[in-house]
Amino acid sequence: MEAVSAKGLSFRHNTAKKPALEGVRLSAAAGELVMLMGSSGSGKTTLLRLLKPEIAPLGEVSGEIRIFGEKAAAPQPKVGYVPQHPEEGFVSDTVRGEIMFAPENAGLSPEEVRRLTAETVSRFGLGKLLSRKLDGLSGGEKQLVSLCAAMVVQPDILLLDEPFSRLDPVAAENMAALILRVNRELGVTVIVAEHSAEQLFAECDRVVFLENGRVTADLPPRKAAALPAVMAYAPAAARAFANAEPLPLTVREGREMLAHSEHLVEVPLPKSKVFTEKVLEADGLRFAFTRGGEDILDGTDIVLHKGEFLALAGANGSGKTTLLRVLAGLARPYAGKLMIGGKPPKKAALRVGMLPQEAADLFLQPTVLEDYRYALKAMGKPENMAEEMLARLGAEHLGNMHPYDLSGGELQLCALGRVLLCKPDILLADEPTKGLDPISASRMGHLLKELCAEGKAVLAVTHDLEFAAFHADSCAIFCGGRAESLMPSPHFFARAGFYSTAAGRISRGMVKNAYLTEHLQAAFGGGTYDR
Amino acid sequence: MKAFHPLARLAVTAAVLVILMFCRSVTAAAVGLVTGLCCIGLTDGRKSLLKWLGASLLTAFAMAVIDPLVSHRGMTVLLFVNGRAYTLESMLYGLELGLSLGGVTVWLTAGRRLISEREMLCMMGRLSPKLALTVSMTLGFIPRLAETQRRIRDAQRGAGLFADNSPTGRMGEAMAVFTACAARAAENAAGAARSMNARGFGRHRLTYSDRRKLRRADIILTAAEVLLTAASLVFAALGGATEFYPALKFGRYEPALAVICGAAGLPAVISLAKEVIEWKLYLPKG
Repeated sequence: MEAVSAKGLSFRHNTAKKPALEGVRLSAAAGELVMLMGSSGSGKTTLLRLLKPEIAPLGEVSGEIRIFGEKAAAPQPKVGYVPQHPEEGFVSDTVRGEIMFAPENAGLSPEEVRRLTAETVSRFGLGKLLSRKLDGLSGGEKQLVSLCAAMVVQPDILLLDEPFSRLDPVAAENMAALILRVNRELGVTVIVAEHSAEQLFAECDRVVFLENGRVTADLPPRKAAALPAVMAYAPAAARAFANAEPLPLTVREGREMLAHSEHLVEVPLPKSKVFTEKVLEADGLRFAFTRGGEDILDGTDIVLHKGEFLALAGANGSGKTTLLRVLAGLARPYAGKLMIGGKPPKKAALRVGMLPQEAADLFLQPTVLEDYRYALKAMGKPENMAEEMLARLGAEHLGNMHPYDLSGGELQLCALGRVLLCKPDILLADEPTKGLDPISASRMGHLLKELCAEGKAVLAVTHDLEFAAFHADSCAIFCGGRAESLMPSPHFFARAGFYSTAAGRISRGMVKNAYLTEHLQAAFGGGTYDR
Repeated sequence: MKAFHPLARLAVTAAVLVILMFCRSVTAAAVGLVTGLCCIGLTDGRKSLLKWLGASLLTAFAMAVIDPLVSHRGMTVLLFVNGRAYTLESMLYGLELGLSLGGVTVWLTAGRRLISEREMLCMMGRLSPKLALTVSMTLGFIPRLAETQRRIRDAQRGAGLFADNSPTGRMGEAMAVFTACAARAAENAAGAARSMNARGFGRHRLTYSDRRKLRRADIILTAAEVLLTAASLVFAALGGATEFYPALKFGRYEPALAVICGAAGLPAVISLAKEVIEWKLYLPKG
């Protein structure tokens, strides 16, 4: 039986000229797991919201949506929806209040509300969080609460909008396992919109690929991954063995393929760049939020050179953002020494700029161009630099748009431009690829590399290991309040054991020095690769 | 004390607060302060007890010293300050004010230890689920707004803006950040509204399910506290309050008021002491 079916679905937002969706055909049988993929702004979120009529966006809709054979109309309690940013959907102040919200609004008796809550809390292991305040939860915990808040009324269909975009690899794996359990063990039909293919791609029943509001592929994952348009979004195993038959989708399948094929046992380690001029040096930085409280920075040492792109990987909540705030002078360490260009921060001639994790926080004006001009005026710089910066980024067409209306990739691009207006010598980027599709993430990486080529230094904290491995010159892992194992990224990833890229895990013990899909391609096909 | 229903715990706290605020008896104020300090000592430990004791005594002492400087009533003149009488009665009146103020502060703190925010919401939810939801949403909104404000300020400073630390520079920063916060709050409100719609808000009567049953002990304690509060007000009206002017004179029912104040706070002290003893003597041994 079809749980969800959309035929000829078109949609145009009230204020938009172009339709967000055009003639979309989508179906999901009961109990299926369907993955919606596509670039930022391709219409994934709009499609998901149209499937939940209570939160359908305002605009012109044509076509038909059916839920379990009936025309979709609000209310639709059979459909649960988990938004992309859990904080935006939170209504209560505590986990308990958030979980109880839906059943309390469903006209159930107090006893029934408590039963549903108890079932959900026990099934999803939320017991320890139940009395916690929502603002004190980690990213992974917030995502879990958001999922449970949707699951508590036991929907038959679950819609998830980019559930992994804000999670570190380990938290993302846990969340993926939970979603799979919901689908496999509870029989819930799951439709998940996501950029990251490493988690659910291989497990889903079908991949629906959207481009500019149109469905361009609706195939089982193995067939979808073979399509050129989808390949960039496919898991590392599929990209590494792109011409193999059958196409591997998981690290395990990739390892099997490698084990049963002829391949090189070693690929040459890419040359490490040598940097000499130190622009930022932190020595034994210590920071805690309260006196006597836990040290978030526990004697952090870090060195950044002119022209270097240093990536700092690490789990959610490990203190990476706090380190950036301290380096940017936004928070004060209680011990340790920080030198910018060989001088204390207050006397430093070099300028430090920071690209925040929430790019939207940068924008104070209604359009990107107006915001750039406002910032330039506030900094006492000529306002015509605004157009120049947009041209440099190739983002002239975004100048008159409201920052909140931009897609994730566009917003991050404009935010980078906004920070570059202050002409920083050192750029600190906090999760620059968060929520970006692979194409936008790659573009961001190239932009940061260009800045390094101009002589700027970039320190990016990220949990996107593929991004760090591909673009960074040096890499370190932030753990226990310290930057561990700071070294050139080829050495960092060649030595990495568990905390590595998918390609690194595929090649582990079989191909030495292979940590990028390009390395695996070279080892597998015997060809060459070029960073 | 958690064995009692939050309503009973609220009744204990409210009874002592009413006596301290409305009965104006120096002995009742002293007793109320002592029971409040006992509660804090039993919940937070000796260090906190000493801190609150010091703060309360300092408040009482300061009030005793300051009051005669502004009020010159009373028969027993101790000295003259700027040609104005500095009287013993006024000093004692200040002391009583200080003890009452200290007692009220201590009991408000003790009340927060006795009843959690969630329990207050739970009781409110019983009376008005919508009001409880509004309070809960506000409690969730405030830290989120503070966090957004910090993030936006950091983002601007990190991008080179508002480096000027002058008062005008800070004012400009505050206005810009506030405007951005307001825009973000509106955006987030739309998100919260979507989330509420998605979860069926407004389609049925709101149920408040986080309830706890009132047992007989809770009803007895609540009723006793209400009676004690009423009795204290009656005694105060009949002449239980301390008279300070023209000369110090203890009220006719002052001992009764002190006993009532002690009796109102005693259940909390006994219950907390019992918990402490059980923890110390029995529970760790399994």
